Amino acid sequence: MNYEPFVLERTFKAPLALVWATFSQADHLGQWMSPQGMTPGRNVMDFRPGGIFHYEIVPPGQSGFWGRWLFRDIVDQEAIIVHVSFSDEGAGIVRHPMAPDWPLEMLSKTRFTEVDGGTQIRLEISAVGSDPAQLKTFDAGRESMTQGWGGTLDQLESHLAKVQNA
Amino acid sequence: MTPDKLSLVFSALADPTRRAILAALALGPMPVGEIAKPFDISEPAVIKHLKVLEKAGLVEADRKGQMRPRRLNAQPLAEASSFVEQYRQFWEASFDRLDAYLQELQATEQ
Repeated sequence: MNYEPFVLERTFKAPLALVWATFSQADHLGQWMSPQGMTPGRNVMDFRPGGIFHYEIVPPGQSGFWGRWLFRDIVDQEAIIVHVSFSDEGAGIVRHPMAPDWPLEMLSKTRFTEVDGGTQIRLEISAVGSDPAQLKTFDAGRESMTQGWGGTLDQLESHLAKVQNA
Repeated sequence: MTPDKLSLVFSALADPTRRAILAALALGPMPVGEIAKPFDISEPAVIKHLKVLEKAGLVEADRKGQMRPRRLNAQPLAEASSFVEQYRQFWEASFDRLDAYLQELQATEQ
């Protein structure tokens, strides 16, 4: 168990100030940061360390669910560090609806770097807290995301292909 | 899959020996003695790991009894994998939308 973060990098063809705005203003966030096919609902944004972004996401034909970012640190046009969790209408923290052992809060660090022709984003997600069950669950999840559980699924796939061709 | 079941799968997968056992069983059913061979641990220890995997629904015994051949049941693995894969997909899809949105914003500015 090494509790490394899950990392995602992307370079956008847009100036740093504009990319920063799309990560720090609720109206902009609602335009891109929601699961496919779902629409952003109500939100409250308090963009300062200690403040929260409390937002509703509405699946088609269903009632909405809530998420919460608690801003831990903000370095203007450089970094946004937040605790991300599922939430309720009163902005409390709730467990993952599908996995009670999933960490209650995830630490998300977004770094912004000006590069040739645009802005690079590096997103790091890791587990918050010291509950061993939650840390183990996250670690298993991260390994699945980065290497498909040590090739177990790859091996399974090739085995299934062989069986089907036989 | 129920939340409790998903948690059992995650905690079963959190151990490297148990992941190695699953990788071995992906090649086909195996008796306990065969499963234990590559590992530097006793057969009773392997049986303990198998019990955790069985409880999570990842491994099944062909017949009753501790030493019976075990086989992989991949269904819970695929479901747990798709659960965490949602995080990657969520962010990659969001970044795709952000990319398009940034182009749109810049086009209207000009």
